[in-house]
Amino acid sequence: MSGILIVDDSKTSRKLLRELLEDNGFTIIGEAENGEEGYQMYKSLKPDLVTMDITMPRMDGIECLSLIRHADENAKVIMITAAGQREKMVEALKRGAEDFLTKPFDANRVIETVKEVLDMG
Amino acid sequence: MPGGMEDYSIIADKAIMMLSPYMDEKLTIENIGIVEDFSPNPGAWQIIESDSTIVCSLYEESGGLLEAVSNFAGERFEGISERDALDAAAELLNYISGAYAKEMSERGTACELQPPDYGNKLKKFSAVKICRVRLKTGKSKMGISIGVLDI
Ligand SMILES: [Mg+2]
Repeated sequence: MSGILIVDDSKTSRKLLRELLEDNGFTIIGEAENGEEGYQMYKSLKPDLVTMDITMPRMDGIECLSLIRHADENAKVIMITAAGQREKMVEALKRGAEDFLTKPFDANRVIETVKEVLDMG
Repeated sequence: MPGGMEDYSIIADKAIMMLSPYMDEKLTIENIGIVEDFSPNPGAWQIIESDSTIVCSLYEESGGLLEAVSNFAGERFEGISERDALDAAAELLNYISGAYAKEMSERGTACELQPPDYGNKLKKFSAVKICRVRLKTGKSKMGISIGVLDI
């Protein structure tokens, strides 16, 4: 069983993503609402996968991704953002993100991407 | 022409596209106008930066925003002032801003979205001109305000 950490400043977004993933058999082991919290939770929970929102106050998802990848070069992180944020996506992929998803979520694409990144595809 | 009427109409169009799945089928535009101020009603707002700085907000009039966010989040909220209801409004707004940013990027203009925010009273923004679009359904009303910041 794989444990997923959701990092997103929007409680609604975390809830929608948690429901979608749990309905498809995945286990959510934690939720963080900004990059700082996400990094701390990554270190303590050691999740198999992180879904990382990019636009967050305090510490954004790109900075948090960098910290996580610096601490664990095998960390698997899928970036999440609203549509139309191409430059940030490119930056995140350069910094080691596995893949990305855009909001609003396309349920099939979310599940396929998560499975692929977890080598379940 | 950044920061002009065209931006307002693209944002309004994306807003209706994103809101309509969550509102009843009688959703229509009640009126559109240029106004002096943003609505002080409860709602969510977000800054979109490109060649100009735009503020977009979704606000409550009479139950319309509550209807949209309840259906969107799949939850029954007590009222729109509830924190979780406003958080859902902010997320819905983030989708609208994202759809606008995507369209602008296809036209060759990059936009950067700031994190959306929300509250029972809109933060004070000084905007050059504000376009207000009022939406109504069979039983409720809500509004969208779009302004170009004077900075
Ligand atoms: Mg966010």
